[in-house]
Amino acid sequence: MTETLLSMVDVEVSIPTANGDVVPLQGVDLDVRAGETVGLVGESGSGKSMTLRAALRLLPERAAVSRGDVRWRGRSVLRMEAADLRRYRGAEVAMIFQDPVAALNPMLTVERQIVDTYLANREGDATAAREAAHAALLGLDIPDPAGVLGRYPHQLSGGMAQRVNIAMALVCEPDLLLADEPTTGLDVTTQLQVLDLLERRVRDEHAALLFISHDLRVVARLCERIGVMYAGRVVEFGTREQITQDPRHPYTRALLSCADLAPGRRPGFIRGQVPSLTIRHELCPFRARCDHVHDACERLPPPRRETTDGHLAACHLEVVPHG
Amino acid sequence: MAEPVLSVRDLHMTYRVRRSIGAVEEVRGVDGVSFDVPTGTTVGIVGESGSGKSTIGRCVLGLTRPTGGEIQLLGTRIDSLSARQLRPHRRHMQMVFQMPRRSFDPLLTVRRSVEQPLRRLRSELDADARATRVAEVLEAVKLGDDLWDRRPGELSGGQLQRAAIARALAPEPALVFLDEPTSALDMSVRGEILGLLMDLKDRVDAAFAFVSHDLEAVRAVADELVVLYLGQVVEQGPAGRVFADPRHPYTQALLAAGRFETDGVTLGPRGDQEPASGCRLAPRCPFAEPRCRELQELRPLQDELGLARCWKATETVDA
Repeated sequence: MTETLLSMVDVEVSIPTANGDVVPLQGVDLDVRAGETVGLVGESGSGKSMTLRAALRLLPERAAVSRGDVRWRGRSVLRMEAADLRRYRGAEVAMIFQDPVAALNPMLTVERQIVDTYLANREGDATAAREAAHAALLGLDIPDPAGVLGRYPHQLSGGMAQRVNIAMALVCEPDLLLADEPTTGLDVTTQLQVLDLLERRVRDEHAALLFISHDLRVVARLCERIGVMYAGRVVEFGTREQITQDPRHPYTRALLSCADLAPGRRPGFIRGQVPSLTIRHELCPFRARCDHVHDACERLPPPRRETTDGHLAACHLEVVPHG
Repeated sequence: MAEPVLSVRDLHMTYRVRRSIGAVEEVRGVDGVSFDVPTGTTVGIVGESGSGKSTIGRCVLGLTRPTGGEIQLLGTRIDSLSARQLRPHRRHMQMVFQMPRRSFDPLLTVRRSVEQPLRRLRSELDADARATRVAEVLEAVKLGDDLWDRRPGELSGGQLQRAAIARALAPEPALVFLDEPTSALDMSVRGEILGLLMDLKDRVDAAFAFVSHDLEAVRAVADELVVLYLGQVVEQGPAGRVFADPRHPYTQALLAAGRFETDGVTLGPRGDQEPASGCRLAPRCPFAEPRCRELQELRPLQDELGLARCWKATETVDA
């Protein structure tokens, strides 16, 4: 059995406000095992970014984990001392952000930033760091690594800046890479190249990847296992094939129909509104928008059922697979 | 053939950029773009960042004055008009922006916001006529009347974008310019807005220009397609034909990437500078030959199903 690296157990994150708590995560369960690629999809406000931030213990001001635990190789991240936490962030887990240029320091050259990251997290002198920076860019199909190393972030295109971020994240040889919509701001023709590079590099380094996106197609291309988030919870989890070919949760099925715009057919959409996160949802948060809602949904919390082949869904119905 | 609602001819927008002290360089943001939006049609304008699609929108709406070329709205040249001179023409063209939340006054109710353009642009209407028109357009976009007296903060993104479309339609414009109208919306809402636009196309007496980088969205609503690359039109034609049978390598790559096809045409990485002459795609194009360094013009395709700026697409005759 492959080792479980990151384990999030019933994680609730709440933010106290003058009008009561806002609860962006309402009990997230998620495992990432060594070397695997896991994707989380969800719409804005579903809690994907907050999940990554909770995993890194990098929550916004005032937000706190109010229930559950985040574990790294069995150890609680929430109880880590400062020195361990520093090691955990950077050397064991690295992150790539959505806006590649904003994630870089505008005052420093690319080389300086990669070298600093290396020196902060690894044993080795400046010469080794510079060599590692050069090698990292070469590994990302950058034709002129020396030229790019000497540039400042504003001199890079979006695609190039995101390559630099990937290089910087991987230069410390992390066991897990977190990626927050890293290709959303890029051109379509560049997006595919960056996704392919990311996939290849993660595989070469035997690192695990936790990748989030609002675009199910992107996640399905990149990730072996996929979680679907809704209202601060993972409502369905399974392999790429299970999620895209045999979705069990009505929300996943609705999302799939929205993504598929066939010409001549009316595009799909989900009626109603995303539920408020100022209340802790005991019952299924999707029931107001669900086409399959019935009386059990109004009385009992949705049961989390897992099939023998590891396909999990939190729903009262065993929805008949479409097709 | 009837006169087009909008006619753009040889539009140029050149910026002067200071690269370093003393060195000024000209950047051709829009470089000789021509297209028409005929009555009753939806023209999709697609391209990636830097293609010039937003600049074209700004020029058409009179928010920026182009450095060259002509823009005609209903037969009247509008590109060189002052803001005051442009005002009588404004009722004929309206815009829907990408971010619905940023395009509404947060203090006004939806009803007031939709009425606003009527007050400014249709001053001949009295209060009753305005109220009637506001109700008409809000019903046309299927926004429930319980929301009409709410403020933007109380509406979802999708509901607000419906209100934005209603506001654009209110003065009965001949042209509605939609700038990435679905790009800021969630996947679950995108289809709702696209479905609405498909309905409105048939019911409303306006032509639409739909600017987007989301090819799937454009495909759902556009009749004609204009594909831009680095400020130039590289291909145009009936949307059905372009999507089914793209002829320019850039269009082919863009469509393949949009569909996540791995066996399609893929482009090289984007360089820092465009080539000084010839095809602007040549440095990234897998089919480039020395001849591509020569000037490439937009020419009719052999089968007359549009235009392409690639000698390989326009000269070779299919055997």
